[in-house]
Amino acid sequence: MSRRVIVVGWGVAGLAAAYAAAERGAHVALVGEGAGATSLCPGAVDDVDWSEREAAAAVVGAPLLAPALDDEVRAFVSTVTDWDLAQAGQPLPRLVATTGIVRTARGRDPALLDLGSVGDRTVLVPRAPRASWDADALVASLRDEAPGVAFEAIGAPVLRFADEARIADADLAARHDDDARLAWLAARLAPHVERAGRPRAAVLLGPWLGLAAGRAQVLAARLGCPVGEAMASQSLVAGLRFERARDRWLARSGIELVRARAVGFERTGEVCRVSLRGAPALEADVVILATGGLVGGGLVYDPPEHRAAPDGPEHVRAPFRVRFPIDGVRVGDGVAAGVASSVFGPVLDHAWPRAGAAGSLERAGVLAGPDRAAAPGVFVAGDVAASEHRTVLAAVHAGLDAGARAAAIEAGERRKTALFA
Amino acid sequence: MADGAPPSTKTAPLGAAEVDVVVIGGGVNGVGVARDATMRGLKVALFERNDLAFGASGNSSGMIHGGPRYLSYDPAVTETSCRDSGHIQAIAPHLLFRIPFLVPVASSARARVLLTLMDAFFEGYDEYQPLKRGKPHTRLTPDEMRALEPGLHGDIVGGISFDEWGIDGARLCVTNALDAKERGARVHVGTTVEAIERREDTGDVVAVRWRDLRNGRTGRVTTSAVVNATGAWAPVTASLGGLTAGRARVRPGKGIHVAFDRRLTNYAIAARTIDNRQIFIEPWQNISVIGTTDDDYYGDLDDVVATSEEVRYLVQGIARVFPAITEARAIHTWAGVRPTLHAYGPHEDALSRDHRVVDHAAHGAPGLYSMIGGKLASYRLFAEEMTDVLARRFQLGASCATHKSFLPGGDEAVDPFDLAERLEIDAVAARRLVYRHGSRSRVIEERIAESPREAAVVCPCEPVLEAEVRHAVQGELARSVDDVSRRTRLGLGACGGMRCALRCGQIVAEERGLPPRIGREMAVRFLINKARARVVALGPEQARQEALAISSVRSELGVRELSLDGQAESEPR
Repeated sequence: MSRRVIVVGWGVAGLAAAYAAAERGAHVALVGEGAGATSLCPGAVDDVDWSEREAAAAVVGAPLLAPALDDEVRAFVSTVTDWDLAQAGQPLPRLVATTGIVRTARGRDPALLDLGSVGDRTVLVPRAPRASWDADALVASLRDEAPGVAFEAIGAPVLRFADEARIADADLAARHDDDARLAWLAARLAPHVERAGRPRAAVLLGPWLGLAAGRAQVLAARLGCPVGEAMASQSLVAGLRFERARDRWLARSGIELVRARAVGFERTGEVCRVSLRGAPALEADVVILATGGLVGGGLVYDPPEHRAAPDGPEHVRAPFRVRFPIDGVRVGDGVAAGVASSVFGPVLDHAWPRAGAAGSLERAGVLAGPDRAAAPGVFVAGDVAASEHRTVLAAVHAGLDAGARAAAIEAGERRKTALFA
Repeated sequence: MADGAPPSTKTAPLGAAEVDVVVIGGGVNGVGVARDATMRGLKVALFERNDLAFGASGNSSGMIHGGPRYLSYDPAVTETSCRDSGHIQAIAPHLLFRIPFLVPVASSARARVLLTLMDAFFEGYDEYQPLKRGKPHTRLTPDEMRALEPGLHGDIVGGISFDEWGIDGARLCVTNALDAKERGARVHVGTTVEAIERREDTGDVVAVRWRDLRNGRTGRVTTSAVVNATGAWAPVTASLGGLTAGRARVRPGKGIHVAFDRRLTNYAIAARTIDNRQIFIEPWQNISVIGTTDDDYYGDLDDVVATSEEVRYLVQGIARVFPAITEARAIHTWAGVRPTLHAYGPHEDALSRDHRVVDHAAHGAPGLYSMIGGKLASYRLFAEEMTDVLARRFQLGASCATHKSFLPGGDEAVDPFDLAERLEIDAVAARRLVYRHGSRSRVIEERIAESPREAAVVCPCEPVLEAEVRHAVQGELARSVDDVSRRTRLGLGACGGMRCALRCGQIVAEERGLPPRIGREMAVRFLINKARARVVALGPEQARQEALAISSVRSELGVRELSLDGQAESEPR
């Protein structure tokens, strides 16, 4: 009988764990509910912190080329997501944020414009009366950030209805899933593209180009020039596209999806049991937690003073806990949280990162050994196992690692533990 | 000159130097003197090291209360506060809002006696209420108390209601500074005074040397008088003139406030801390505020932050009368340092809130004056007293008129609903705009008429329009995202600036002709400083959101920009 694995959490780490376990013949049940960090990712797919990489490149004066990635990471990304990863040894994509930043990434949501592929084209940036979109300010900032590329703000009308000055980015994006609407937009942009000398133009828009896959490419084909979005960290559009790709993969993968929130965990002999809210409990040989740390809510900050009697808390308790009753929560310098050192809980005065050092909220997680096991039968992956901030591909790698180990403990299979090949 | 020499009665001729008076400090006392002195015909230059209202003035409880707390031991402070509160209402009516207070009395063996004593005490306070258009107090039954404020907790035997006024302290400073500037004063923000030069023989003040902290430019301006209105920095400033710090001694008292995301109560409610200090929760503009602590402060005056200890101390005290506070969403904290009159020995709360002009002629420095102590509510009177001293020095006949002439925006009421219709903006946005700018909201209206896209909402929490951000830079001396926030409350809402700071930085950089990168750095610095102030008050759900905020900022800005904390703003010279 194949090993039964339950993966809790359907962000990128949970999906990677499910993928790796299923690839190794395990029977996988994926428990997912709500949205976490991956759903909020603006579409830049990082392996390491982009700003540190750019700083290092500036010091050594070397061009930014894509390092080779672990094969299974590449396979996962191409199977499960729509993201484009740069080929090893090729230049990294350069992405634009609506706030005027240009930054490199290891990969991207393909709807985002890659400035690296624009060459000597002029990037046209249509003006639109939306609060978060000031084409002229953006162009001024981009000329500063990407001096090798020509930018021009243009007056093409890209909003069709009056409410589009105010609606959310995701709502505006959804309207471009409609072919007629995309054709309307192409017709508005076409004269400007022609004027700029078509093959020598590119178009940069806000995160508005559809929730379905490939809308930016459809528009690009209609206009005959590169078209793409600038990313916005608050827009959710790239995250919604990720979720759609995830749902398509889950539908064809044969993995059992359970839409519920996991609320309990217990282990009897060799059997792990995960209880769910509003659904029957699940049993398996192994459980993988990929619940996203504090961001996804898999880890709970619960100071004793909250909801305490008017005079203060009567009981001291651990201020950080996993939603499941397993031990090994850590906070601060990677030490187990235990009970608080004051009845009022920990001091969060250094919760934010300072001078490059991680903040205490980022360092909250679940203690796991080198084999990613937190307790007998329990593996961890993603932000819940992070002791520092994580990138998307690092979370993928951690998920694959946990999935592989969970599926094949007895087989003693050793995976490469490096993200980079 | 020897210590203890009598104050000089020497006078100075007008116009002998580039300016007659240099005012150091852009808090409410400094801008008040700058305005008064300019109105009386003196040539004034004001230097502020950080920003207008950076210190105690912008970090107060936001009340021009009459100070009933001081009634029993300092009745003169109560009277002057009430009288001047009335004057401020007359000259800047748009900035004032009523804050009615409830003082619940908990059941105990002596509760009835206590209630009767309080009733009699507020009878005394009622005598001063007409000075500030306040209503007389009322004694309330427990049922009446709970009807007014259903969230009140515990077994109470009754209580008292009394009347106070709220104000935005930062706007009060900005309007005073603008008025002084429009009347001819020079106002330099972000510019520190590095030395006060005096003649070697007579000790007279002759000039100050200044340095623009953002671009490093330095300069010197000659003057016949210097007013040290630097609040808790007063001893440091006095030392720039060669005096020992003790000549302008204050007892710095740190006070913090915690802001919650909405008006949690209809009334301000008084409460007691575990050590029996009086604190309060007040509905203030569109938020609730709890405050305040009062602790001797020995730290860096340019970097005063609330700690989680102080927050817990206040929340615990408020929870005894209003338990829902423990589940409310804290969105911000702020901290300031009071420049209290110095006395060694008394408990912080027992220190006098009075003010005093120190004439340093007595210390061998004719022409140098320090303003020590004071309260937001009596700033105008303090400024008047200071300017009277200057008037004697320059033998001016003009008497003070600051209580008779309107502050900018105070001259005429503007209907926010009409404004909303004309600008096609949200009525709430219009109302907030009119609150901050009074009749000057027309300036912003004109901007939008010129460029309709400036009606876009930059900060959705407050809300703040793009035109107002641009106006703050063009017309109100704002130079950074932080400055804009101080003037408009941009980024101080529930999102902590996550949705508006970067856009605001973009606009500030554009208006100042700086590279976009500088605007972004300003925005990041603002986000980090606000996050630092906010995390000490985080509840459980907010910790999740904070973790998300960190990852979101990282993903967009990277770690290197997150490391900007504490560095000076780099700007091309």
